[in-house]
Order: sequence, then C-alpha cells, then structure tokens
Amino acid sequence: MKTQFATSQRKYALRLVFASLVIALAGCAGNEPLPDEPVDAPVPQQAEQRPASSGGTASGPQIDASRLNERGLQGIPMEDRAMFLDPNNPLSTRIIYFDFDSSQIPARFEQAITAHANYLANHRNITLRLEGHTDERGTREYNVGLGERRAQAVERGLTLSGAGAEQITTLSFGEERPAAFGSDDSAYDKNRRVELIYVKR
Amino acid sequence: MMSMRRIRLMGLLLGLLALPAQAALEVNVREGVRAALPIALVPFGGTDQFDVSLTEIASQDLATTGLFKPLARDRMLGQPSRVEQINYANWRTTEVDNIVVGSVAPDGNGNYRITFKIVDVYKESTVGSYQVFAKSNDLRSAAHMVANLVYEQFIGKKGYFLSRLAYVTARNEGGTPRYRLMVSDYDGQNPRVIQSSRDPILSPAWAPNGSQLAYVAFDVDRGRTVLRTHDLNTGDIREVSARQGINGAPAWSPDGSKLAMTLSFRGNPEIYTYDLGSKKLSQVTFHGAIDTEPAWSPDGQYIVFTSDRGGKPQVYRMRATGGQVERMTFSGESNQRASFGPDGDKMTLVQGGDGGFRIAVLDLNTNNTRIVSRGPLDESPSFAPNGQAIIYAKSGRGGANLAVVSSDGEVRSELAQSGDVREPAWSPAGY
Repeated sequence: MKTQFATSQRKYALRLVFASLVIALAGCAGNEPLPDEPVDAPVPQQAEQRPASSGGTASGPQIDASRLNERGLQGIPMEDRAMFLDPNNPLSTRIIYFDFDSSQIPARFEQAITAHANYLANHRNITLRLEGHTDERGTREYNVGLGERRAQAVERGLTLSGAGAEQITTLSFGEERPAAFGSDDSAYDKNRRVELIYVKR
Repeated sequence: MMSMRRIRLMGLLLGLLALPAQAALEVNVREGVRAALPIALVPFGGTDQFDVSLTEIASQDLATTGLFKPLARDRMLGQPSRVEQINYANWRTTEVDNIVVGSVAPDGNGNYRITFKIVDVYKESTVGSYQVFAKSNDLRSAAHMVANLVYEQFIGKKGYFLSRLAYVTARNEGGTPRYRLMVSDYDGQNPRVIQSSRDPILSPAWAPNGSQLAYVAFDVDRGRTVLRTHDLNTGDIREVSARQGINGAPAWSPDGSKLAMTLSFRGNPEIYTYDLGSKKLSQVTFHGAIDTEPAWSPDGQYIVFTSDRGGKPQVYRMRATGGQVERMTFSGESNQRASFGPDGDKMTLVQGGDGGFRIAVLDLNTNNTRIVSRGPLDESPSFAPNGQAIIYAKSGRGGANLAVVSSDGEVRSELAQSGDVREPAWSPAGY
C-alpha cells in the first residue's frame, strides 16, 4: 500500500503518526493505491470501483440516526455535551468513514481524532467504545474482521495522540447495522464507518 | 379404535392448517434443465387425507432435487395401493418409468406403519419394498422418510429430506430490530425459534451430531459479543468466548471435540481452536491480515479459512494444528467463506468479481471453479449432508432470502419468506 504524505507543514507531524499507524496494521486491505484525499474533503471519497449491484436492499434493521447522538454521548458529563453537539467543534465529528475494503483513516478525520484523543487524555475516567461497520459487500464474518480493523485503526490513532488504551474498547458489527439502506455507492459510503460511542461507566 | 383414530387425524389436519401461518418457507422449483426421472407416487391406501398429503410431500421432496419428475395426481390413471392392482398398460401411457404404491395402517401403538413398493411399469417388476414407521403427529417426517428411500434407490446416495436448517431472521418490529435464530425442516417447514434478541445473531454452525448449534450473539449494552453453544434438546447454553473484540465464525471439528473460531483479543483477527473438553485454546494463525471463516476438512486434518494477507480476501489452507499456509483460490477477484462437501473433494465458497458476489464450487481434484448462483449479493453457502445441493442466502428486494441449487448448478429452487432470512446452515445427516 502506498501512503501519500501531505506537504503541508502544519499537517506533517500528524500525517507521520497516521502513516506509522497504517504500516503497523500490516496486511491492510485495499491493495490498490488510494487516491490522495484533500484534507477537507466534504464527502466520503468514492469507493474503489466494484461490481455495482442494482435493485437489492441492504439487509438488517436500520439504526435510528437520531438516537446516535443520545447514545453516543451517554458517558459525557452534561456540562461538556454542548462541545460535542457544536458543529464547529471537531468533537462533533463522531463518525469516521472509510474507503472500500480499507481500514486507513482518511486524512480529513485527523482533526477530529486529535480532538477526541485530547478530550480522553484530559478525562481519564471517561471511556469510549469504537463500533466498526462495513458495507454489505463480502461475507459477514470477513466484514466483522474488517469492521474490527477499522475500529482498531481509530483506537491506534487515538492512543497515539494521547488517549489511554484502557479508555477504549472496540466492537465490530460488520455489515449487520447499516446506517443507510440501499445497494448503491451512496449507501455504501455511509455504511463503511466507525462510530465513537462514549459509554456510561 | 376407529373413533380414536379419527380424532387423531382431526388433530393432524388442524396442525396442517396451522402450518403456513407462521414462518413457512416455501420451496418453488424455478428451473431444472437436465433429464429428470419420471415417477408417480400414487396416494397410499389406508385412509383419507393423511395418505394424499404424504405422497404429495414426498413428491415435492423429490421434485426439488431436479432428479425426479413426479407425476401430478390428476394425471394418474387409477389409484392402486397394491402391486396386483396395477394396470401396467395404462401406466405406460403416462410416461412414467416407475410408480410407487403403498398403504398406511395403524401399528396398534397409536402410530402408523407405512409399507410401499417401487415398481418398474415396463419390466412389470418390483424394484424395492419398504416399511417405515411414523408417529401419528408427524406426517411430514413420514413423507420425508419415504422420499429418502426412493431417492436412495435411484440416486445411490442418502436423501437429505430429514435434515434441518439453521438460519437467522432479522426484522423490524415496531422500530426495534429483532433477530431470531431459527431451526426448521430442510424445506423450511416446522420453524422453531431457538434464540431471540434485539442485538444481532450471527454465524450459526451445526455440531456434527446435529444436537447443538454454535453461534455469535451480540450484547450491545455490554459492548461485547459472545460465542455460545446451544443444546437443541436441553436448551443448555454455554459461553465459549466473550473476550474483547471479535468472538466469531465458529466451526465444529468433524469429531465434535473442538471449535475453530476467530478471536481478536490479542489485537488482530486470528484463528484459534478451542478444545471443548480440556478448554484449551490454541492460536493457529499468526498474521497481520484478517484471518477468519475457518472450516474443517471432513477428515479433521485441515482448516481452510479466509485471509486478505495477499491483498484481496482469498481462501487458504493449513494443518488444523497450524503451520504452513497454502493459498487455495486463484479465480475471480476474491474468494471467501469456504466449506467442504461431505467427501472432502469439493468446497463451496463466495466468489467476488464482475458478477458481484456469487456462490462457487471448487473441485479440489481438478481445481476447476464453477459458479452456481447469479449474484449480485449471494453469501453463506452450505452443502446438503449428501453434498448434492447447496443452500445459500441471496439479497434482493425486500431483504435476503434462501435459495437452493444443485451442486452442479443445474437445478434451482427458492425458499421464500417475508422478512430477512440469512445465514442458512444445513444440518448434518438426520437420516
């Protein structure tokens, strides 16, 4: 796998951390070079070209998105919740999206990862569960593996940026809980993700 | 005596009427292109509806294989129940080669004795004579027994009509997801809920003796997954692994003494074997890739598994104790979730490529791969206990459902059910 380094000095150090993270996860899937993604890309990158399947529906009950906010912040003290709900605060990004068959964290999420790592570093009693998800393509247990590896990639990013390993657990759902139904790229893009869930102790 | 029997038959009929209401999967033969053996299962003598249903269920069993072409009842010329009653000249005009005639009688213990013969209408000779005993409340099993015997007589392999399926259903019930682990007859009849949960249930796997299932239950509140075994007779549930991370992809060794599984508590998803007796856990893969979906060879010597160590996921093989790893799949873009047929000479797997994800059969003697399904999102293939058919899940409009295809890809049928039915696992024998 090729890893492109950003030229921006500002981002260089963090990029290094992410590069080492990718190397550490040897055997990382997605053996085709990934496109160099702009740091502030507003939407998930298109997945690598795969056989398009038409007409099907994603299997499995859909999770209610409105409940994610509530569920994902159960472990955050009331006085801090506003930060996590402020769209201008990087802590409001609590879903990390991935490319097809990849567990490399796209660069545009670096800021959010750093913010969450800092928050965890400053609140050692708070714990985070990383829930890994995939799209519906491929077999279920392989996708459980892929979701786990995505969760572990985020865990690595957080601990390298200062969060304590004991503050983080992972849980991979594979393809079992799609965020979006449908068997097209726009649904798939929303489903390849890791959700950051601050759990109540 | 007679009135007792009538009451029993009434109960039986009520039971039959109640069947389709629940979750009955229905077999519809969609196509069958090869020559099928024309045969007539004449309604058995004795009494009433019992006998008609019996031969009709057995006829349907045989028809779904694509190997038989049972004659419709309304095309039958006469209803002989004994060999002496057969008008051979008449039957030869119906284009069947063989007819099955028989009768049902109470055995004196409240159950039934079914005796039948397979008769060649050209040679005017008996091919085989059989006797089976049936419980009065288990018409379908009796019919499946009859079908098994007819199948074995002509095909030379055991029939699979008494085998069962395990599968998972997922439904949205009033905004709440509801997952159920189910066991049914091979044709989807007599569905029974084994486990129900609002969290996902995954990867049911039959123990070789057919009395236990292993599966993965999510426990989202506690942020974990649990790999369990579940005894279908006693209801006894045992927790095999609930470690941090993945507890997944259980597969029983052929002797039932071990489970292979995928665990990630040491970091990367790796394959382990667990001795159910000694409780000893052994790690058998050591690689930074995703290693998962283990399956044992029928002799217990090898484990095949899915790994993306070469880039795309492919199927690899190693000794069951670990060690050197050999790649098995080279066609298509990716290959996943392999499992062996009963003779160890074939594997079925999911192949990814231009046609999406389709079911394939890899012949280990010739190394030929044959695609047997149409995709685009097919998964979870599982061989029938005699290796002659494969059940799998296919996604389509309205969710996933189950389909059966003959192992040569020629004959297809579907088991349709409303809702989302996935991860079929065909039980061992059961005959």
